[in-house]
Amino acid sequence: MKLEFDLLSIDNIDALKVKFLEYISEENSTITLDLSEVNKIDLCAIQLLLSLQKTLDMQNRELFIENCTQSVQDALYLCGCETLLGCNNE
Amino acid sequence: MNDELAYFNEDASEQLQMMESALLDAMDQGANSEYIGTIFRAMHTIKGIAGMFSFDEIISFTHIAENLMDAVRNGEIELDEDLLILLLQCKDHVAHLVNFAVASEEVPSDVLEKDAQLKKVIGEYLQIPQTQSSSTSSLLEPTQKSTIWNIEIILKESFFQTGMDMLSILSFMKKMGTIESITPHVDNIPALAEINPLYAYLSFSIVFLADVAQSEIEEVFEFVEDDVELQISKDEEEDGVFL
Repeated sequence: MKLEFDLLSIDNIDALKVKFLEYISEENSTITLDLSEVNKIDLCAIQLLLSLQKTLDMQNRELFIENCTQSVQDALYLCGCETLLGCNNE
Repeated sequence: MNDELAYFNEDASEQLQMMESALLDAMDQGANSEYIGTIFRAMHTIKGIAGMFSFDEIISFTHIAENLMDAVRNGEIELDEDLLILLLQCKDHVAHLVNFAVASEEVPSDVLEKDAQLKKVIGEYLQIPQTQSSSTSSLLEPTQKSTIWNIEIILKESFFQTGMDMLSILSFMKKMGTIESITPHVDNIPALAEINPLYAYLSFSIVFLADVAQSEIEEVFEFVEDDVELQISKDEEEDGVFL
Protein backbone atom coordinates (compact mmCIF):
# COMPACT_ATOMS: atom_id res chain seq x y z
CA MET A 1 0.00 0.00 0.00
CA LYS A 2 1.39 3.34 -0.97
CA LEU A 3 1.16 5.94 1.78
CA GLU A 4 0.18 9.06 -0.10
CA PHE A 5 1.49 11.58 2.37
CA ASP A 6 4.42 13.91 1.76
CA LEU A 7 4.82 14.34 5.51
CA LEU A 8 4.20 11.85 8.31
CA SER A 9 4.12 13.82 11.54
CA ILE A 10 2.17 14.77 14.60
CA ASP A 11 0.17 17.11 12.32
CA ASN A 12 -1.51 14.22 10.50
CA ILE A 13 -0.98 11.45 13.04
CA ASP A 14 -4.69 10.86 13.67
CA ALA A 15 -5.35 10.40 9.94
CA LEU A 16 -2.40 8.05 9.77
CA LYS A 17 -3.74 5.95 12.64
CA VAL A 18 -7.11 5.65 10.89
CA LYS A 19 -5.30 4.53 7.73
CA PHE A 20 -3.29 1.92 9.62
CA LEU A 21 -6.44 0.58 11.33
CA GLU A 22 -8.01 0.17 7.89
CA TYR A 23 -4.97 -1.73 6.65
CA ILE A 24 -4.94 -4.19 9.55
CA SER A 25 -8.68 -4.84 9.23
CA GLU A 26 -7.88 -6.58 5.96
CA GLU A 27 -7.08 -10.22 6.41
CA ASN A 28 -3.69 -10.36 4.68
CA SER A 29 -0.90 -12.07 6.58
CA THR A 30 1.53 -9.35 5.59
CA ILE A 31 1.18 -5.64 5.14
CA THR A 32 3.56 -3.80 2.86
CA LEU A 33 3.86 -0.06 3.17
CA ASP A 34 5.40 1.86 0.28
CA LEU A 35 6.94 5.08 1.63
CA SER A 36 8.22 6.42 -1.70
CA GLU A 37 5.99 9.51 -1.42
CA VAL A 38 7.06 10.37 2.11
CA ASN A 39 9.69 13.09 2.25
CA LYS A 40 9.66 13.82 5.95
CA ILE A 41 8.86 11.85 9.06
CA ASP A 42 9.03 12.76 12.74
CA LEU A 43 9.39 10.60 15.83
CA CYS A 44 5.66 10.68 16.53
CA ALA A 45 5.00 8.95 13.18
CA ILE A 46 7.90 6.54 13.66
CA GLN A 47 6.33 5.55 16.98
CA LEU A 48 3.04 4.84 15.21
CA LEU A 49 4.86 2.61 12.69
CA LEU A 50 6.33 0.73 15.67
CA SER A 51 2.84 0.36 17.13
CA LEU A 52 1.55 -1.00 13.80
CA GLN A 53 4.43 -3.44 13.72
CA LYS A 54 3.75 -4.57 17.29
CA THR A 55 0.05 -5.04 16.51
CA LEU A 56 0.78 -7.22 13.48
CA ASP A 57 3.41 -9.15 15.41
CA MET A 58 0.86 -10.02 18.11
CA GLN A 59 -1.37 -11.40 15.35
CA ASN A 60 1.52 -13.38 13.81
CA ARG A 61 1.45 -11.12 10.82
CA GLU A 62 4.30 -9.13 9.33
CA LEU A 63 4.99 -5.56 8.35
CA PHE A 64 7.21 -4.77 5.36
CA ILE A 65 8.32 -1.25 4.65
CA GLU A 66 9.70 -0.46 1.22
CA ASN A 67 10.98 2.35 -0.97
CA CYS A 68 11.96 4.74 1.80
CA THR A 69 13.26 8.11 0.66
CA GLN A 70 16.69 9.17 1.88
CA SER A 71 15.12 11.53 4.38
CA VAL A 72 13.04 8.74 5.95
CA GLN A 73 16.04 6.40 6.03
CA ASP A 74 18.10 9.11 7.74
CA ALA A 75 15.35 9.70 10.31
CA LEU A 76 15.05 5.97 11.10
CA TYR A 77 18.81 5.69 11.42
CA LEU A 78 19.06 8.77 13.65
CA CYS A 79 16.70 7.33 16.28
CA GLY A 80 18.10 3.79 16.03
CA CYS A 81 14.94 2.33 14.45
CA GLU A 82 16.50 1.35 11.11
CA THR A 83 16.83 -2.30 12.19
CA LEU A 84 13.41 -2.54 13.85
CA LEU A 85 11.66 -1.00 10.87
CA GLY A 86 13.99 -2.33 8.17
CA CYS A 87 13.30 -0.69 4.86
CA ASN A 88 13.59 -2.62 1.59
CA ASN A 89 14.53 -0.39 -1.30
CA GLU A 90 14.21 -1.80 -4.75
CA MET B 1 4.69 31.90 17.52
CA ASN B 2 4.60 28.83 19.74
CA ASP B 3 5.93 28.87 23.32
CA GLU B 4 9.24 27.25 22.45
CA LEU B 5 9.93 29.69 19.64
CA ALA B 6 8.99 32.62 21.88
CA TYR B 7 11.40 31.28 24.48
CA PHE B 8 14.13 30.97 21.85
CA ASN B 9 13.53 34.55 20.72
CA GLU B 10 13.62 35.86 24.26
CA ASP B 11 16.73 33.88 25.21
CA ALA B 12 18.63 34.87 22.04
CA SER B 13 17.65 38.55 22.37
CA GLU B 14 18.76 38.59 26.00
CA GLN B 15 22.13 37.04 25.09
CA LEU B 16 22.64 39.57 22.27
CA GLN B 17 21.78 42.42 24.61
CA MET B 18 24.39 41.22 27.12
CA MET B 19 26.90 40.81 24.29
CA GLU B 20 26.29 44.37 23.13
CA SER B 21 26.73 45.78 26.65
CA ALA B 22 29.98 43.85 27.08
CA LEU B 23 31.26 45.08 23.69
CA LEU B 24 30.42 48.71 24.46
CA ASP B 25 31.93 48.50 27.94
CA ALA B 26 35.07 46.92 26.49
CA MET B 27 35.33 49.82 24.01
CA ASP B 28 35.03 52.37 26.85
CA GLN B 29 37.10 50.68 29.50
CA GLY B 30 39.25 48.15 27.69
CA ALA B 31 38.72 44.42 27.43
CA ASN B 32 38.79 42.16 30.45
CA SER B 33 38.05 38.49 31.04
CA GLU B 34 34.50 39.20 32.23
CA TYR B 35 33.52 40.97 28.98
CA ILE B 36 35.28 38.30 26.91
CA GLY B 37 33.42 35.59 28.82
CA THR B 38 30.06 37.31 28.27
CA ILE B 39 30.64 37.62 24.51
CA PHE B 40 31.78 34.00 24.26
CA ARG B 41 28.77 32.74 26.23
CA ALA B 42 26.35 34.73 24.07
CA MET B 43 27.57 33.02 20.89
CA HIS B 44 27.83 29.63 22.61
CA THR B 45 24.35 29.80 24.12
CA ILE B 46 22.67 30.99 20.93
CA LYS B 47 24.40 28.20 19.01
CA GLY B 48 23.03 25.70 21.52
CA ILE B 49 19.44 26.89 21.47
CA ALA B 50 19.45 27.34 17.66
CA GLY B 51 20.46 23.70 17.47
CA MET B 52 17.18 22.70 19.08
CA PHE B 53 15.32 24.20 16.16
CA SER B 54 17.79 23.21 13.43
CA PHE B 55 18.33 26.88 12.54
CA ASP B 56 21.36 25.99 10.43
CA GLU B 57 22.45 29.51 9.44
CA ILE B 58 22.50 30.61 13.07
CA ILE B 59 24.31 27.45 14.19
CA SER B 60 26.93 27.79 11.47
CA PHE B 61 27.62 31.48 12.13
CA THR B 62 27.66 31.36 15.94
CA HIS B 63 29.90 28.28 15.80
CA ILE B 64 32.58 30.27 13.97
CA ALA B 65 32.10 33.35 16.17
CA GLU B 66 32.39 31.10 19.22
CA ASN B 67 35.69 29.70 17.90
CA LEU B 68 36.94 33.24 17.47
CA MET B 69 35.96 34.15 21.04
CA ASP B 70 37.54 30.94 22.31
CA ALA B 71 40.85 32.05 20.76
CA VAL B 72 40.42 35.48 22.39
CA ARG B 73 39.65 33.82 25.71
CA ASN B 74 42.82 31.72 25.44
CA GLY B 75 44.89 34.82 24.78
CA GLU B 76 45.68 33.79 21.20
CA ILE B 77 43.96 36.78 19.63
CA GLU B 78 43.87 40.25 21.15
CA LEU B 79 40.48 41.89 21.61
CA ASP B 80 41.45 45.23 20.06
CA GLU B 81 39.21 47.94 18.67
CA ASP B 82 39.07 46.40 15.19
CA LEU B 83 37.89 43.12 16.63
CA LEU B 84 35.33 44.85 18.86
CA ILE B 85 33.87 46.51 15.78
CA LEU B 86 33.80 43.18 13.94
CA LEU B 87 32.03 41.57 16.91
CA LEU B 88 29.41 44.34 16.98
CA GLN B 89 28.72 43.55 13.33
CA CYS B 90 28.49 39.86 14.24
CA LYS B 91 26.02 40.68 16.99
CA ASP B 92 23.83 42.69 14.59
CA HIS B 93 24.08 39.93 12.01
CA VAL B 94 23.00 37.23 14.46
CA ALA B 95 20.07 39.46 15.51
CA HIS B 96 18.99 39.54 11.84
CA LEU B 97 19.33 35.79 11.49
CA VAL B 98 17.25 35.29 14.66
CA ASN B 99 14.52 37.57 13.31
CA PHE B 100 14.27 35.63 10.04
CA ALA B 101 14.31 32.30 11.87
CA VAL B 102 11.57 33.33 14.29
CA ALA B 103 9.44 34.67 11.43
CA SER B 104 10.03 31.41 9.47
CA GLU B 105 11.30 33.53 6.59
CA GLU B 106 14.11 32.63 4.24
CA VAL B 107 17.31 34.59 4.81
CA PRO B 108 17.54 37.15 1.97
CA SER B 109 20.57 37.22 -0.32
CA ASP B 110 22.08 40.45 1.05
CA VAL B 111 22.10 38.97 4.57
CA LEU B 112 23.68 35.77 3.22
CA GLU B 113 26.36 37.90 1.55
CA LYS B 114 27.04 39.62 4.86
CA ASP B 115 27.21 36.17 6.46
CA ALA B 116 29.89 35.03 4.01
CA GLN B 117 31.82 38.26 4.36
CA LEU B 118 31.89 38.15 8.17
CA LYS B 119 32.85 34.46 8.15
CA LYS B 120 35.72 35.26 5.79
CA VAL B 121 37.07 37.98 8.10
CA ILE B 122 36.72 35.74 11.15
CA GLY B 123 38.49 32.98 9.22
CA GLU B 124 41.39 35.36 8.61
CA TYR B 125 41.64 36.08 12.34
CA LEU B 126 41.63 32.37 13.08
CA GLN B 127 44.48 31.77 10.62
CA ILE B 128 46.83 34.01 12.61
CA PRO B 129 47.34 31.82 15.66
CA GLN B 130 47.54 28.73 13.49
CA THR B 131 50.91 29.90 12.22
CA GLN B 132 52.07 30.85 15.70
CA SER B 133 51.10 27.83 17.73
CA SER B 134 50.43 24.27 16.78
CA SER B 135 48.10 23.87 19.77
CA THR B 136 45.47 26.00 18.07
CA SER B 137 45.48 24.20 14.73
CA SER B 138 42.18 22.57 15.57
CA LEU B 139 40.21 25.78 16.04
CA LEU B 140 37.84 24.90 13.26
CA GLU B 141 38.14 21.15 13.64
CA PRO B 142 36.23 18.96 16.05
CA THR B 143 38.31 17.99 19.02
CA GLN B 144 39.88 14.55 19.09
CA LYS B 145 39.53 13.86 22.79
CA SER B 146 36.12 12.68 23.85
CA THR B 147 34.39 11.62 26.99
CA ILE B 148 32.07 8.61 26.86
CA TRP B 149 28.61 9.57 28.12
CA ASN B 150 25.80 7.14 28.80
CA ILE B 151 22.49 8.91 28.37
CA GLU B 152 19.05 7.53 29.20
CA ILE B 153 16.12 9.53 27.86
CA ILE B 154 12.57 8.60 28.80
CA LEU B 155 10.01 10.65 26.90
CA LYS B 156 7.04 11.60 29.05
CA GLU B 157 3.58 11.24 27.51
CA SER B 158 3.47 15.00 26.94
CA PHE B 159 6.68 15.09 24.90
CA PHE B 160 5.22 15.36 21.39
CA GLN B 161 3.04 18.26 22.45
CA THR B 162 6.11 20.41 23.15
CA GLY B 163 6.39 20.96 19.40
CA MET B 164 10.01 19.78 19.55
CA ASP B 165 11.01 16.79 17.47
CA MET B 166 13.41 14.40 19.16
CA LEU B 167 15.04 13.93 15.75
CA SER B 168 16.16 17.59 15.80
CA ILE B 169 17.64 17.07 19.23
CA LEU B 170 19.51 13.98 18.03
CA SER B 171 20.73 15.87 14.93
CA PHE B 172 22.09 18.56 17.17
CA MET B 173 23.85 16.00 19.37
CA LYS B 174 25.53 14.66 16.23
CA LYS B 175 26.97 18.13 15.68
CA MET B 176 28.34 18.18 19.26
CA GLY B 177 29.92 14.74 19.14
CA THR B 178 29.39 11.19 17.95
CA ILE B 179 26.34 9.08 18.73
CA GLU B 180 28.21 5.81 19.09
CA SER B 181 25.01 3.85 19.59
CA ILE B 182 21.33 4.54 20.14
CA THR B 183 18.92 1.89 21.34
CA PRO B 184 15.20 2.66 21.27
CA HIS B 185 13.06 0.94 23.92
CA VAL B 186 9.69 0.14 22.41
CA ASP B 187 8.09 -2.17 24.99
CA ASN B 188 5.77 0.51 26.33
CA ILE B 189 4.28 1.37 22.94
CA PRO B 190 0.65 0.14 22.94
CA ALA B 191 -0.94 -1.74 20.07
CA LEU B 192 -2.68 0.30 17.40
CA ALA B 193 -6.18 -0.02 18.88
CA GLU B 194 -5.04 1.31 22.25
CA ILE B 195 -2.40 3.88 21.36
CA ASN B 196 -3.02 7.59 21.78
CA PRO B 197 -0.73 8.67 18.94
CA LEU B 198 -0.24 12.11 20.49
CA TYR B 199 1.40 10.54 23.55
CA ALA B 200 5.04 9.50 23.65
CA TYR B 201 5.87 6.01 24.93
CA LEU B 202 9.47 5.70 23.73
CA SER B 203 12.74 5.82 25.59
CA PHE B 204 16.33 5.69 24.38
CA SER B 205 19.74 4.58 25.63
CA ILE B 206 22.53 6.48 23.97
CA VAL B 207 26.30 6.12 24.10
CA PHE B 208 27.60 9.55 23.21
CA LEU B 209 31.22 10.50 22.59
CA ALA B 210 31.91 14.20 22.98
CA ASP B 211 34.36 16.56 24.56
CA VAL B 212 31.66 18.43 26.44
CA ALA B 213 30.62 18.98 30.04
CA GLN B 214 27.51 17.27 31.43
CA SER B 215 25.87 20.70 31.66
CA GLU B 216 26.26 21.14 27.89
CA ILE B 217 24.37 17.90 27.26
CA GLU B 218 21.69 19.00 29.73
CA GLU B 219 21.38 22.30 27.85
CA VAL B 220 20.40 20.35 24.72
CA PHE B 221 17.27 19.23 26.58
CA GLU B 222 16.58 22.61 28.18
CA PHE B 223 13.49 23.23 26.07
CA VAL B 224 11.93 19.90 26.94
CA GLU B 225 13.21 19.45 30.48
CA ASP B 226 9.68 19.04 31.89
CA ASP B 227 8.82 16.48 29.24
CA VAL B 228 11.70 14.02 29.55
CA GLU B 229 13.39 12.05 32.28
CA LEU B 230 17.09 12.38 31.66
CA GLN B 231 19.95 10.44 33.21
CA ILE B 232 23.47 11.27 32.16
CA SER B 233 26.52 9.46 33.46
CA LYS B 234 30.15 9.43 32.50
CA ASP B 235 31.48 6.05 31.50
CA GLU B 236 33.53 4.62 34.36
CA GLU B 237 36.42 3.91 32.02
CA GLU B 238 39.04 6.63 31.75
CA ASP B 239 38.25 9.27 29.15
CA GLY B 240 39.06 7.76 25.81
CA VAL B 241 40.97 9.24 22.93
CA PHE B 242 39.23 8.56 19.66
CA LEU B 243 41.04 9.18 16.43
